[in-house]
Amino acid sequence: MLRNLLFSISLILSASAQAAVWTEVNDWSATYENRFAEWVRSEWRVDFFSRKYLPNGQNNPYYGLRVDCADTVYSMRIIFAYENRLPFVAQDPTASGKTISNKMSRWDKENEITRVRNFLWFIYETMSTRSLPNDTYPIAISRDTIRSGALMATTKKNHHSWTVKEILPIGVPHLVFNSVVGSNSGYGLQERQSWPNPDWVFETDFTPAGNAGFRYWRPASYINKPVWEVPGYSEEQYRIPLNKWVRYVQNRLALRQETDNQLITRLMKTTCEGLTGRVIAVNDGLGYLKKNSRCMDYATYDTYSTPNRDRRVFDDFMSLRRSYREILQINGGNQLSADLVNQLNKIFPAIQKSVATEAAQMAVQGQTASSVCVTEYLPGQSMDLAEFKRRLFLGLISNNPHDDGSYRWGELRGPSQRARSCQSWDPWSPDLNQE
Amino acid sequence: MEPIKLKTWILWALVLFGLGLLTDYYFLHLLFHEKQNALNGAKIVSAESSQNSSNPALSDESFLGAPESSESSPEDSNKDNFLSALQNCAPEIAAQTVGTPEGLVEYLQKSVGVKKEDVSLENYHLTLPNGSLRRIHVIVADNTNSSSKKELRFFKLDAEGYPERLPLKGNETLLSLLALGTVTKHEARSQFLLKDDSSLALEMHDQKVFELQYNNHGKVLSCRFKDCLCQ
Repeated sequence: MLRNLLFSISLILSASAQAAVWTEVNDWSATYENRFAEWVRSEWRVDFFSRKYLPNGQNNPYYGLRVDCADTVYSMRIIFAYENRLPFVAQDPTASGKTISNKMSRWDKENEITRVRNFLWFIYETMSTRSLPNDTYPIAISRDTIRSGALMATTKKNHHSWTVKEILPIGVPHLVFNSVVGSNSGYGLQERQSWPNPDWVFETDFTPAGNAGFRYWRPASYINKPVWEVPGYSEEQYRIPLNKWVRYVQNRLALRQETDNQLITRLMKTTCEGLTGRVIAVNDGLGYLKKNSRCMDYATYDTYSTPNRDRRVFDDFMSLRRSYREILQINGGNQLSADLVNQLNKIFPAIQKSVATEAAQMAVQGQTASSVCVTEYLPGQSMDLAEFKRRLFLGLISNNPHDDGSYRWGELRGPSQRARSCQSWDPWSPDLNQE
Repeated sequence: MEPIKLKTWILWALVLFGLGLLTDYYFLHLLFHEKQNALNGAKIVSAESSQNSSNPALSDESFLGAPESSESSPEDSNKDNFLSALQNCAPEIAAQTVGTPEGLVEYLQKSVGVKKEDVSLENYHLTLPNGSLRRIHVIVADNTNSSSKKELRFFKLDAEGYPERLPLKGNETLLSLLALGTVTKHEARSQFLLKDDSSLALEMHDQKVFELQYNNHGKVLSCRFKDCLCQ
């Protein structure tokens, strides 16, 4: 009888334990934060949600989750917490003072991994970039604080966020992130090993209240508390002049200096990814246009237009240009390889002149031995990074999804007849007045 | 009479413990769940509405089994250093006999003047005529290239008080959702750029200052109610 009784009680207890999304048995500590950082550095990859199988041959339990930028950030923390039986607590963004945690029992009839996936979906439809400030705090600038597992956010205006996979030894962040377009087109994430433009990150509010810059996760006991009371809260990022922000932060985070060749190669790679990634985004829009000839409504237009993407590529070109100019001023480029100098001179043929003058004077760039990142942008048509830069800086590249491929890629100057006759929203054009 | 054996004591202790768990399971997991499902369902029982709306168990703030709530109230913090912190961060304003956070906000809006105001987040807590609870969450949309497009999210509350998103048809407006019930609480986060190029981040709950950060040209006054810090 005693045995039967014990069995019945254990059944009741197990039913009760299943109520939570997962049962936490550990607590966050410095050791677990270090393990989290190591896990992000080694496991947080662009194929985290897109690979069907794990390296050990087992099914990937997270395969097929579609995430946007804020979802990516929350997923990083939640999945580690789940896999290590740690609590996950966040502020309920719909009601001040309330929390959301792994203790919720909404899916208690499901098996554990289904509960975890449901919890992630619940987070995706409840949280946003606006909820991130509730759950994180701005951090000081050092390798102890800005490290794997941290995140970067923009102000409300640009509503974007990135996870920090790693701070490279040269002091540059390796960011893993996603965008809405990315979440529509597949399960893969995106990555970059370069700085986002701080003018864009902190646009309109370079103060602590803007909630932009590097941030880290609040301890559960500081959820719903004033952010300035969180241990480690720092306003240091907002005290650096914006035009020196990247240089200052990178120097503080660097373990060693990057050579000129490494710097230029890295920035060129990021810019090239801007071009190749744009091909996929534009093709999505052209595919829609082929099937639907009528004017797009706002939501459709917004999905297939590319103003933010084009601005980010422009910013990456500007970052490359500024770095090349600085190198020339410091050492005349004598540390750069001859091949790299030729490639740079093809992209920036009048580097000593203003951006606007160079754009106006730049000739059409054919493909030569100095071409870099030659990309097929439409069937049978390709261009290199230099020609893309020429078209982008001249305002030939169209972000309007009513335009067909030849306008989207700047073979013809838009707007096209269809673009003129349909409503458009949120245009962007390059600002050539910056240096 | 034979003395009661240890085994029997343990057996009875386990029986009582098991009964306790079963009682807990019945009331909190089964009975309460059904009650909340009925309340959050679409069926409207108008006859009970007036009674339900006055039932404290249905209030968003005292929800039985609701997720842990740690929202502070002015009474929670005895600290009131508003005036000294304001004196440190903005002595010119402290000299204007501004005595409360609400007074500071009014002074900044009316006397300094607002160049630009931006509401980044709003939460409306609603009670429907049948007594069930809803929340409207208004944020700047993430899934857009626009910097100002707003997104409406509509939630009911599950048995534990967690938000559960409800699908919208797409033609709803804030006003049409508000018309579904009575607003019991309103939370709003705003940013103000003032005419002297100082800035104010403000969170108001029911027209009262919950939290503010006033950036007075580099000196930042941060307050939760009247518990303030000047940095």
